[in-house]
Amino acid sequence: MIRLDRVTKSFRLKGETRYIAKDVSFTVPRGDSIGLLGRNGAGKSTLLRLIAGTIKPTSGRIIRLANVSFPLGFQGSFNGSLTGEQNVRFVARIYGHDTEELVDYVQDFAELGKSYYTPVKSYSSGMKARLAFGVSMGIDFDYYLVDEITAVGDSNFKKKCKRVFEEKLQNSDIIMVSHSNASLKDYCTTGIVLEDGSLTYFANIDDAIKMHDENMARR
Amino acid sequence: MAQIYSDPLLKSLKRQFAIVFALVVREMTTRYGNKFGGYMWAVLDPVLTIAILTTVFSGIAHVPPLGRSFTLFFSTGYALFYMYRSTSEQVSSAVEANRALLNYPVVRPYDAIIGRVLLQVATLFVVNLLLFGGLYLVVPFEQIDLAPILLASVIAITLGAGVGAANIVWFHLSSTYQQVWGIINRPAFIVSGVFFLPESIPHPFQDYLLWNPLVHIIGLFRTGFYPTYRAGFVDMPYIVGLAIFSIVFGLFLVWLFDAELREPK
Repeated sequence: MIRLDRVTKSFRLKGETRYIAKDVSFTVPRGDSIGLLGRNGAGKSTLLRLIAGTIKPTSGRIIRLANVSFPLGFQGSFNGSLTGEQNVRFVARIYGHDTEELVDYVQDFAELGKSYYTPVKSYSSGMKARLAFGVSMGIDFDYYLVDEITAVGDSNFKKKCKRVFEEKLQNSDIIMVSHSNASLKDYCTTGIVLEDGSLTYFANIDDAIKMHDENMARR
Repeated sequence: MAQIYSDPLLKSLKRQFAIVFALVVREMTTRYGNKFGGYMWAVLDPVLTIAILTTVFSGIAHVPPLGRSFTLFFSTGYALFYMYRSTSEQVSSAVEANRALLNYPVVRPYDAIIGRVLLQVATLFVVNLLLFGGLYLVVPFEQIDLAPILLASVIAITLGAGVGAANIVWFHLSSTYQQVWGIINRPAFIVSGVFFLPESIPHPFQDYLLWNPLVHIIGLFRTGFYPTYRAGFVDMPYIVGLAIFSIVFGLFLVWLFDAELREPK
């Protein structure tokens, strides 16, 4: 369960205070997957990071009685001078995961062959993305945070990613930012629409998509 | 027994320890590049500085202010100054250097700080062992007293960590301050008593000089190498108090500005 308790998040831009969320309270029960909708710059990614806990609200608090993931396929933390395997080892350690098990899992999943043992700076962007997705899939979370699902690799690899991710979602939920109505409908049951600093929760994702489309048509 | 292990506090402490350990391992392999040779630089910095000081000053004067060896005199001064300076520099950049890792919700700014301090202590231990071990082969010291040496080292590292932790916050809030700090600290090396003794400084200036805690800490450090040197000016309550105050204040600032530190500059 994740609960937002009177959460306000604002930031100052050119002397003007802008709000992402203003005094927002709601509870996300386990078993619901949420889609975050809103126009560009509405603050969807910021809200995702607030929920993850990597940034703090201006006021109010966020209570997480669940194990929340880092952004799915996050690769910004990979150190170029470390090998793929060493980078995986690091993530295993900070999550208290069996290192050898995760190293083996990702080796098998990412299909990097010998490159797994060479520095990440020599990787192509596709290889990096495969490594990152493998790490995300190798650790179990209650909630997966997704900032736009981006397809990785060739069509066979894509199929594998989709299959493994869907297996994961048997036991895990997802909080997802997306502009694609199709993937929102695929993965999410409920939705939140962000517009001009206000946040509206919908128990049904279809209603959220409808509201978002109306917002987009209006302006 | 099972109950002890399910204690949430103990469990979260173990997790935190695992995270700090992971950060230390990661920095060890990346800090000086992936090669062991990179570590040479951590040793070469003090060695080269001491060599230059020795060459220059033994050309100017005939005898050092203490003992007969210029090398030993400058080593005892610079080794301690280096402990303070390098710790404060390493800690002050701990959060910025690990910013990408803060995207993992389990990693907190504190972990990066603790990791850096631990790695720095380990690095300094090896550096000093090599430095003074090598020195002993060149100029054997008569006798050494470990107690003041270790105490002075702990005080210098604590002070450096505290100043560094506070600077994480100040540097983050103001890059002007960061520039100014760099400039006003450049002469710190000259006024810390690395290459003179405060006893030799005339009166009004000696009082000003003794505001600098490094002068006291270097004095204390030297009493461990020179059995006849008293260093009567060393004000223990002042340096111990200042070191404790700086680490508490620095960590408090990091806690207070946690939200700001998590946002990019």
